[in-house]
Amino acid sequence: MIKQLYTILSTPENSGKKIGLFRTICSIFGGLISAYLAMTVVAFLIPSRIQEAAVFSIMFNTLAWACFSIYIALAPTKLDSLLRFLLPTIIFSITIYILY
Amino acid sequence: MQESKSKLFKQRLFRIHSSAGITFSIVMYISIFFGIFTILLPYISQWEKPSRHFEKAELININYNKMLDVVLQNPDFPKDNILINLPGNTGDPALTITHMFAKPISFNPISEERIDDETSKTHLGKFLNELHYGAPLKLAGRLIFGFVAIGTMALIITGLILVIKMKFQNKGKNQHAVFSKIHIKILTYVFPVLLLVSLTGAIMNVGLISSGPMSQLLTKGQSLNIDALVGSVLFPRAEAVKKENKNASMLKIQDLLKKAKEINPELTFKQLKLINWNDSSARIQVIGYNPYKPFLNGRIFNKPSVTLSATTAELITNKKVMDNTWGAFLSEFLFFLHFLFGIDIFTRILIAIIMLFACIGIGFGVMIHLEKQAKKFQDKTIFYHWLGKLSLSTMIGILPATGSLFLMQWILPFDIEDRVLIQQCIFYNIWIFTLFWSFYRINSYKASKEFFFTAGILFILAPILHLIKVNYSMSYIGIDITLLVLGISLIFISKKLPKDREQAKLFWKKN
Repeated sequence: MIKQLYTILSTPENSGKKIGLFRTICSIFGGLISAYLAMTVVAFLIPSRIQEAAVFSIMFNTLAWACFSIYIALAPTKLDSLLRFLLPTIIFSITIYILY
Repeated sequence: MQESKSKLFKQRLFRIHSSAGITFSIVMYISIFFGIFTILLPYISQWEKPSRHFEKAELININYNKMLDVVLQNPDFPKDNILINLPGNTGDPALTITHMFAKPISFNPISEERIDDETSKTHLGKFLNELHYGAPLKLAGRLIFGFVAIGTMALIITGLILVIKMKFQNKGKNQHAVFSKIHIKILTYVFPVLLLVSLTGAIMNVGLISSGPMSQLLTKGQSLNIDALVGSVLFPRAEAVKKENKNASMLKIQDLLKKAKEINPELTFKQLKLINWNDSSARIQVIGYNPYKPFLNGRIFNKPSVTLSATTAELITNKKVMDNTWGAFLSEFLFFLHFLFGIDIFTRILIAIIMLFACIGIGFGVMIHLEKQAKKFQDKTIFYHWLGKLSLSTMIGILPATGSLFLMQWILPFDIEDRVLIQQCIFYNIWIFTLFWSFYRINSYKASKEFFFTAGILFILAPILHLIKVNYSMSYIGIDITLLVLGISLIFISKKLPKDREQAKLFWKKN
């Protein structure tokens, strides 16, 4: 069952003319979550007062969302697009947990 | 394998760009279209008010204290932190005395008489601004427009990758090739402005609303509200000055302004803030804009100012443009092109023209898609597609609707009840009527010609009626001329456009 799912996800599609629901959802919602977490981490990492760093994060939050969405949607396989969403989300969540 | 991978990548990129484009283009077009009017908002919102038709006064010659005394005679008007908007601030020739918690009171600075604000009777400029960011639909509208702004950024990014990767030839002669050539040419030039504007638009409509969790994480659970976090950087609060409770006579505001001008001659003064007025600790803060440092100061986050004592004219603080934190500079830089605060008319017109081109570029983008669809039915049947009709009525039908808004401003008498409501209803009805009309007319070319023509007539009639109705209208002759030129060019376009698909093919080949 899992192996079957894995092969379905990891085989590249024949044509790129259809994006598909899976990629669309991954890119829109995954992009939002990973971009949001990434910008929060960035605010923590900027060597400045947190109030000033937050300005930067809030300003570029939406642009980061757009970039992440495109990056996820353009993955070669469905599995890649899932990983491109999950890996940053997990990494950034752990970083926030440590910094918090 | 590598080749098929890159082929898939290109196909996918193209597909994302075109499907996102079709999804977002209509709202994006509406936003940019009304955005052009919003750029000229300071002028339009004075043009619409008959009470504002008088000449501008020199700042130094105005007797401020007299008008201030008239306002302060009202015991209910707050005495602390009174704001005086100087004439010429955002295009308004009137002097407005206001307070955070009080209704603004306007004066004619030359005759020193109180003038009516007409806020309940005319709403044209504000309405155009609200349409620009989806405010008539309340929160839902704002969120939709915000998501479209994010989509626009995604479209710009994919478009840029496409232009770099695909190396478009831009040489074909059929309609499809001509459309894509225009689309690419225009948008490769205007994208930097469009990107900055849509980034700030997205911040205002989505970024700030969704910033709760982030501020909670960053403050380690202390505040859910973003203002508590960035407010101290972007809007630093001045420390309250202690009152001494001794009455003192205030110096003349003209003299204080002259002194402030000597201290910082680069500033253009916009606003006065009176602190503890009529007390011996009274201060006056002269807030301005430094036109020699664009992108770094303006009207929201970084306001240079000169603070003087109102009893002795002694300098207390001189806040220059560069005295601020990098967070404030960053926000000011990003928002500068969106708000254009304190910017002169030439820059505004330049930005308006750039955005007009962006509008045309987006329009041609949609036409590429429709042309692709139409090709499938070539020589079989007349092309009739709901998306085409919807785009026709929103993108071109918007012109007669907006024209009617300008015309109704001067046709409707000012003492009529529910004037604003009637004006807006007529606007919406005409817009919906264009939707009906574009579905009714099978030939879209004919419908668009008709829309352009009626819009032209409406835009020509509006300034003529304005000149007839308002006695002293020469001060806003610029807006009249602009509307007139717009109307004439719309009629010209309607005459030039092809009548049907066969003619259209020849028309685009020629150009």
